[in-house]
Amino acid sequence: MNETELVEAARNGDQEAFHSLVKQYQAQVAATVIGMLGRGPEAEDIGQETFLRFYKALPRFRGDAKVGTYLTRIAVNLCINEIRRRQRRRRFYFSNGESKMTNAPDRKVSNNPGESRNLVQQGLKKLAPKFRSVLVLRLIDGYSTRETAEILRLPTGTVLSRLARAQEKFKRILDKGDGHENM
Amino acid sequence: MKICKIKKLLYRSFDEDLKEKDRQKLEAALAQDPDLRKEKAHILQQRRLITESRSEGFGPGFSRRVMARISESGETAVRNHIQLAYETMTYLFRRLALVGALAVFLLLALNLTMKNLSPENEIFYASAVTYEEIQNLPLF
Repeated sequence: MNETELVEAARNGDQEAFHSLVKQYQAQVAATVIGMLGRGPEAEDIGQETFLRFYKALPRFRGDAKVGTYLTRIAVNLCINEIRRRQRRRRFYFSNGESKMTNAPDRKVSNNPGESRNLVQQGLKKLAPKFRSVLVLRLIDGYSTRETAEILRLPTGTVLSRLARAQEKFKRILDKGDGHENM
Repeated sequence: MKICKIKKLLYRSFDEDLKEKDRQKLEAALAQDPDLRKEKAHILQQRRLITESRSEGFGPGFSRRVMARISESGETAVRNHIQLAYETMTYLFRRLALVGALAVFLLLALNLTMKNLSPENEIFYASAVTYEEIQNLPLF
């Protein structure tokens, strides 16, 4: 069955059809969620929540956006909510006298893919959600600038501006080991 | 944090097709400025690093866990249709109520501006009707 048929079957209650959609898109959702949040139990939880929300929204899904685009949009919004929740929690702990962990990433770019991935993750975590999301969608998920704008519901010019600023900030984070959160 | 104009152009060149004029301007700047060329190479390397950091996915069995969670939540597509019908009716009712309220407001405003309103009838926002006219109505 093609994507349209799978969606229609899932809408009519075919659980196996929805299971096929999950298998088809889990890698894409994982790339987005882990790019935004890093690896961890919350990432898997957000990934599951993404598909759960899509399932609930099936009757309203008209197919004017591709399934992948729709899922990515849900995932990005959930990730941004999670980032804000973490920030509130961190502010609460810091206001109670806990010292801030600078946790600056190592400046060296390693040849080891695992270490490089960690380095990128640490760098991305230092970016504010609005900059992190454009980098993740454009460079990790591989969406075009226009698709990124469509997912985030922003003008293309805004996406281009944020991409430039995000890359500049990311470069400073890696070059100088800047440990400040959410620049 | 401000980025200089030529650097903005450089960043944009990675994510959109530049106009001919801008493309020539950038190429000329790159040809003249070795630091800008280094910057371009650095940006390319950084972008490649980010792209290559793409994760391999969630752990094994992810799709089964998703389906289990859906089953636990008790959601079904059929039930969702009922919810959808409810939400649609609520949505329509709110819109109709808003239109209705607006129509009533416009009618009231129209009535208030009518010239032959007597002071007594202004209270009831009705045009003047005499007792004889009421008596002549077919009801009596």
